[in-house]
Amino acid sequence: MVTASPEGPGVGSAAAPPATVDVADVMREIQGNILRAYGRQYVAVRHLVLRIGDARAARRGLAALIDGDRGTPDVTTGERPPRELNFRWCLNIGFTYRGLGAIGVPESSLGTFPAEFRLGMVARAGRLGDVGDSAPQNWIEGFADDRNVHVIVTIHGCSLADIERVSGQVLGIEGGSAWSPVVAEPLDGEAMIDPATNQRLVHFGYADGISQPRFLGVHDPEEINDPLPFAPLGTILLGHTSSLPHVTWTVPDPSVLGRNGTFNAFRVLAQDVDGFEDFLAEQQRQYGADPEETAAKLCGRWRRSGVPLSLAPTAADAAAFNDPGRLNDFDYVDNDPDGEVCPIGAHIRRANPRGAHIVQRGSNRTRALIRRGIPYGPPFDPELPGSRETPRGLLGNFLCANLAAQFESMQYDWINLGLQDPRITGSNDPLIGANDPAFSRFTWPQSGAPPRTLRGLPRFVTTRGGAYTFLPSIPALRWIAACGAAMG
Amino acid sequence: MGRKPSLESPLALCSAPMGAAVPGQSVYDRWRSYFCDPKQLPQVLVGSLLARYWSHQPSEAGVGLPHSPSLAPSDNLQTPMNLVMPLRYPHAAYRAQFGKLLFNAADEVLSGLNNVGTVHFARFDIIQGNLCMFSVYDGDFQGYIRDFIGTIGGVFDGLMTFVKEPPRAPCGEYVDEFIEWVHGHDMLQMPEWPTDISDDLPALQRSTLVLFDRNANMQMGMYHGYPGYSVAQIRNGLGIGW
Repeated sequence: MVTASPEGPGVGSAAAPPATVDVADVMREIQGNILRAYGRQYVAVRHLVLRIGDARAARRGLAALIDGDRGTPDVTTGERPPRELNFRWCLNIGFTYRGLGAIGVPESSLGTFPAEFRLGMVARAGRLGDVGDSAPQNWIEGFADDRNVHVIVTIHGCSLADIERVSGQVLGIEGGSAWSPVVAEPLDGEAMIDPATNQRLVHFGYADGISQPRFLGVHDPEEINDPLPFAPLGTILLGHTSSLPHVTWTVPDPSVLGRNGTFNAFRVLAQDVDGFEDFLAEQQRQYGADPEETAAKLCGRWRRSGVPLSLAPTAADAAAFNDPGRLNDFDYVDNDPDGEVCPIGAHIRRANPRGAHIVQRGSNRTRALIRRGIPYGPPFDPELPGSRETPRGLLGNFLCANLAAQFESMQYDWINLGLQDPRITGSNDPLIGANDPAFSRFTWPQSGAPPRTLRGLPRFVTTRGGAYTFLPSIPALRWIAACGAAMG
Repeated sequence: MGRKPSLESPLALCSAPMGAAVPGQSVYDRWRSYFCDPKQLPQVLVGSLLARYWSHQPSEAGVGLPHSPSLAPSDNLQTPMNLVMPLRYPHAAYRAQFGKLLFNAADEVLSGLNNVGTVHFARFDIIQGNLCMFSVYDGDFQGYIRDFIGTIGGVFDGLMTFVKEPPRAPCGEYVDEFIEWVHGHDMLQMPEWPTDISDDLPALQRSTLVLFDRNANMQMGMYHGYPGYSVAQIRNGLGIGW
């Protein structure tokens, strides 16, 4: 039995976690793609944003999704049986607060969910930087009126054809009376794999998903070259020791509903690739800056390869880097404290300061998120007519045990304020921040030369929709499906 | 600035401070003139009765002026938190007992607040039977409270035994409850720029009156000697470490 002791600084809890946790049990109970990502063969995704019609039918439909025999769709667990390793699709289900209410979860339980989840992403838009073009009133039709957003079913597949078949089955459950789509546009994504590096890319050309929290008993320490310690399970799952000192997150009541569940900030994030490439070209025109070097400074990693600036400060270093197992083998503690190599405001350093000295001492890893995202829309091709106007971006899932403490604090304090280091406070993340060209800036020091400052960064990423969902454990899904019986 | 409110209406006393300003007159002066002038007394009485009536009417609109994050990053700095917590017993011996506990924990409290890293200042006051904690912090309110719990939550649990209806302890195990409890004891903060709220005077009159009726304690106006700077920026600039 692989066990994880309640490592980290947390203390006992109201819903006291056991002294040791059988990780295999946990993996069997939780939904898939949470602690461990689905395999690389699942290159396509569809998110079905649904409104519950008939609550009884929805509960029966949910029961079918839990106990399907793989001839019918069923929810994928964290630990799929080996025979299914090559299965052609995986399925997750998440409920919004209103969705839990709509399917019949009693008020006494609903009231035990944290406030930010109860309020929902639309109400929290200001905290997330979803203002101006990113404001909910400008979102894809169906998302802004979050009273109707109840369930998000996510289907990963080896191809869009696999997904098409499964999504048809999900929508046809109970003769279509259980739920129906509220977002008319298909939220389909497809991985962009760089043939040269075999990395999954996002539209801006960066390799994605390289740095993620790792968990003892889930990930093999031998395979990971990362100086960061393993994260406690409570970073992501409810009912376990959290990563915040002396803090334990409240587990929604009853325990079977809350324990081993996780919260998800689902986001549809449009990426202005045209604007991004224009910005890089403009820097080259005005200052002679190499576009690839500018792109690397903005992110902290070189495009396509994902090689960090910290390990390969120049383009030549990056080209010579041939150890893909070491992409996370760096820290800022004793290396580059002033950001001469990897700017302090660079995207990866803002979102994950690693062991660096930050203002909120001891909070370096307390806001960690698991990110699962797949791009949507075709790759940008300036030569192709209409390519500039074609929607493209990322369908992102940001998983955590506490949306306010992790996802929202990340967005509010670090991405859109730069509070973690006084040298960047008052500036936004250069890639995903709510930038306004009139005020935006991005600075890094250079040894033997004045600091370099880029100004006029526009907003490259715009929010087009989203919702806070709760991904219940498999026992919790059974409990929800039986809610009607419990209520008589 | 919108329409000029008429002071002839009893409701005008509610709308004027937020809807219009006399040039050169501070927010405080305006409020003072309304409430200290005997000629305004009938209006105050009528307004108070209306406020009490409206306060008990169900309303779709929320009452309150929650801090709304701004697009400009520097606007999310130097936010006050003013906790007003009635003491369990207001007599001198009890207050002295509280003082002893606080002074004994001073080192832990001070180093804890230092470790939070985003606090400009924080102080404990006892005002007319209330234990008050006034502080100014940078960034996210909930982030501040969580970091606060992580650093001096244990001490705070001890201090809270002196107040009426304290939060459930230990606060680190009931974080969401604690955050809501703190929010409930945080004085309402009137906007620093009242004219930004709305020009819709009829709506403002009712909501303002209800606001005042429901909130006995309020912060009204705040001066910033160094607007738009975080505590870490100031410490960094002074070379005293951050």
